[in-house]
Amino acid sequence: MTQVVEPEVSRAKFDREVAAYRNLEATYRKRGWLLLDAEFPEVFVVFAATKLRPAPIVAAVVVDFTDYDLQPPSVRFVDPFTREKLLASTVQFQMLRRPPMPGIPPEAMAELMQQGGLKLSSMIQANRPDDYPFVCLPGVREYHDNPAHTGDSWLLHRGSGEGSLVFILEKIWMYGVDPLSTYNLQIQAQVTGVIAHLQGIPE
Amino acid sequence: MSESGNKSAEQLEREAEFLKKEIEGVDEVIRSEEKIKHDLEKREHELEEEARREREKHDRDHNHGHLVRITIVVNGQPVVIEAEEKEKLTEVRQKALQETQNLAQPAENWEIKDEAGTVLDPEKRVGEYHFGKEVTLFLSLKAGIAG
Repeated sequence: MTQVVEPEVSRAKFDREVAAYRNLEATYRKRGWLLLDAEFPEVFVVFAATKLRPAPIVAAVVVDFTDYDLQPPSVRFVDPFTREKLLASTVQFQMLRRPPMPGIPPEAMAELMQQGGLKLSSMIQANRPDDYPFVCLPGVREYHDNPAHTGDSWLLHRGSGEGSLVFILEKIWMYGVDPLSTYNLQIQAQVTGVIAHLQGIPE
Repeated sequence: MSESGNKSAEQLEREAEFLKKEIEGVDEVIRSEEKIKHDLEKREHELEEEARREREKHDRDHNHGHLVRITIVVNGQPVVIEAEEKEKLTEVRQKALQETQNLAQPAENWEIKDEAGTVLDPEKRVGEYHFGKEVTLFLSLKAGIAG
């Protein structure tokens, strides 16, 4: 990514975003957001699913503020331990969104989804499995750079609140992390033999 | 014949002297009672004044009890709004957006959430949520059309 904006301008805006985050860091930590590193132009945040016990780390992102805010921040999913960018085929994380259905109670909505009667859309998109996935959301650089969204320029959104650090992190949490409430376990049992009850063995 | 009968002038003078002293005693009692009356009036006035102050203080505390100090975080930026319990959250949201100059998006595009991220109904009144004296809420911009 190229820095076209005067670097000090982007850096000042980056510092402002990070300061706003730090101001409420304790609250965000309760949600499972852990900011591990913030050095211009990148912020590295991992997300833990706090409704689960033990609470797993389910996602990690690097938010890149290069050329901010002439350009919106870039968001890439990374390995939470090595910080290496993940390919679409290796991201085990979803951000699901349902269509708006005003007036339908949440229970009915859940039942409809379970029966497959409601089409959920994924907010994480990729051109190919071996490409880097991106968050398909106004306010994220990859969304505005995508040829499918040339009609929705970032400049129409800039300054509206979209594209801020907290906005991006909250959407990842809201659509991807917060809904996680149970572990999905698959157990395959293999019979390897039988065991006698020792006291039941006769003389 | 006078009412004093056959009393001598000396006796009459003594009686007059006695009555004079009695009158002086009564005057003294009157002065003393008036002083007591004055002190009681003063005390009455002080108590009335104290009662008025207490009533004002109570009214102030009572009214203050209906105010909720809401720290609203608008896209990461906190602002404090003192809201009455009868106010709707929509009104509180509007004030917060105005104070933080977040006016580019319609107010309906901002969801009101608590710390845990639960979405609150903007049409409900502050008092309906029983926040207590202070609370932190979040205004979160709805995600735009994606995909």
